[in-house]
Amino acid sequence: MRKDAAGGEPMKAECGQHRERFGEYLDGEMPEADRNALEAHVAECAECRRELNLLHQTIRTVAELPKRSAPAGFGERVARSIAAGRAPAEGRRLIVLCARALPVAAMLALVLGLLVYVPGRKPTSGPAEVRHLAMARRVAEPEASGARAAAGEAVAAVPAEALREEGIRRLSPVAMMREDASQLADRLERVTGFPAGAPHARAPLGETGAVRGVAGVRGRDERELLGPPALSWRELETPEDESLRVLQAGVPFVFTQVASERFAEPAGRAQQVFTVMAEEPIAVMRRTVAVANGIGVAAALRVEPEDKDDGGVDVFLTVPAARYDGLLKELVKLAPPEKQSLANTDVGSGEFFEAMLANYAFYKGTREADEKSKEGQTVAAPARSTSLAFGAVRTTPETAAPAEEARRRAGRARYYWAARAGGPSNGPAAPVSLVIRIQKPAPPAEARR
Amino acid sequence: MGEASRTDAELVALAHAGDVEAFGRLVERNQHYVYNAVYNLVGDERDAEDIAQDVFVKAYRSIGRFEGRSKFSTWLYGIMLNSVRSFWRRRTRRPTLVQDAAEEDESARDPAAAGRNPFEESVRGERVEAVRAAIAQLDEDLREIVVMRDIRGLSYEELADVLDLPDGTVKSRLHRARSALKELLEPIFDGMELA
Repeated sequence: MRKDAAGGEPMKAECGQHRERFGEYLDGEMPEADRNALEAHVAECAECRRELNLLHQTIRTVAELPKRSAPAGFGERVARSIAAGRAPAEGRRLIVLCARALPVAAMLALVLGLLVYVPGRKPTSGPAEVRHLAMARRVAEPEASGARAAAGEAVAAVPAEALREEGIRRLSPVAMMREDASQLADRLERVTGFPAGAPHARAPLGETGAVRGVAGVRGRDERELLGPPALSWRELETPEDESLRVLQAGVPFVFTQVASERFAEPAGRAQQVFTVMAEEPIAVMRRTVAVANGIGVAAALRVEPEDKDDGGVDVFLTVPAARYDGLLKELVKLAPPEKQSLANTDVGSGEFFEAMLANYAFYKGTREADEKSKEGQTVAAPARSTSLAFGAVRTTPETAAPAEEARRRAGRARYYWAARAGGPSNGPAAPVSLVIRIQKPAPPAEARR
Repeated sequence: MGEASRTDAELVALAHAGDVEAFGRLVERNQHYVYNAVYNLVGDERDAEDIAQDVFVKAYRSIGRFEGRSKFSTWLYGIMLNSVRSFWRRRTRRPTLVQDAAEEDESARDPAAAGRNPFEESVRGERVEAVRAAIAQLDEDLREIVVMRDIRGLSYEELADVLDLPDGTVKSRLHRARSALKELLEPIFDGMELA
């Protein structure tokens, strides 16, 4: 028989039954007959009396918490919010809604699945079937370009020397985008040894027949990078054109969308998430894609529809080992050190991108729940199907003891630190599955008002 | 008839017909209740204000859906809980930018390590804060029901309505919530005359 929590007399079954209903009793929600029985029991049972008093005390303590009043000016702010979303004519209302939505329209790319750049290949045409989360198979496998890939793998020694000459320059995203594409391509060529001027031999995407289109950056070697003819967003007849236009603004991007069954990810990959906080996620995304394309790596993008402050873009890359170094040395320039972080994950072979995507499906569920809740419906939260446990990699300036710091830097984050220092890391031994998450920082309190 | 003396139902009807002042009156009447409940659910003043504001904006936009079957405040609480749940979801999915954990530091990922004992705070003479911290430690569904019942004072029937739960579940969940809270608060009751 179970002992009472207080360690006194063994608790009788009768006690348990009554205790379960103490709340009802104290709330005055118990029928009279039951109440009488409960009171008779409590009169005889000291432990139950103590429990009842304890519960009463608990309820009273919570009920007596000091009340917080809404801050001064609360009603006014509500009125302003309402006025901002309301206009006399429906047409005007639409305009207002669009105007408000526009800054996040890029994030709100409702059905923007993956925007994929495929070098040197005319995209296969196909029905305008665009899945919410399209996936591309085997993004930029190193073996895809045969002899060229072999040459690429052999240039691991080049980066350090070239980078030392170059130095690490920190540019704002806007300044980065102003940088001439040819300068970037030249630098990348020096860093990675991947010839910027040469056509990329082959595009692994599309061979499965599942890829419906491509996207990429048009820069100096647009012919080689994209392959003729270039697609443009205008060819897409999807409701998301507005989002594409926003993404395209300022830089000659070319987009279309892809649909595929799943990412197939070979075993033995390192799996990493590189997070960048940036005020202009789209600009940083463009830069990232340009860098990836510059080393001959296709980028799959996912533009996250988000409300308020946590929208962002994810860039999916499969980085050949020999080009990882060069890529990382560019990535660390995307944001100040305190606004970037790197996490190693270990989701399981072949499941990393899938797990990331499953997580997005969860986010999508929560967004839909949010939408419904705006209509006053009660919505249950969607179940999270996948949990990504990230092994944190410290990337902030050191505060730990030097020995500890040295140990960390020699650990799994060593490539990152090598890239930060501008020195050679010689890169990992195997290709890396990398998700670059570009996210807006949370707005300061005042801006949220 | 002045708006001050109108019932909520009358003000809702006026607001639905486009009377913004009537809605303003509803905001005035309910803002403190809503704000206080949200504050106790999320535990942060700034977040509470944002969420409470959002509740009234949503209420205004969907006022045509209020059918008058329940009290206006009960309907408002339904919207409020949805907003709070959205907030909780958003908060859990925001990834941490820079984790100050050492690489492969298991303790950084250990949820048990993240929970603080509220009574360390009570020892520092912050009894109220300790009670709030105890509420914050409850699972979200338990926190909801305890705030709606013991802070907002909703009846069992209203709880069933707002939380969209069968009567039996209201009772059992409330029992679980209070039992958990009792366990957490018992140390600060020590020394009190209980029996």
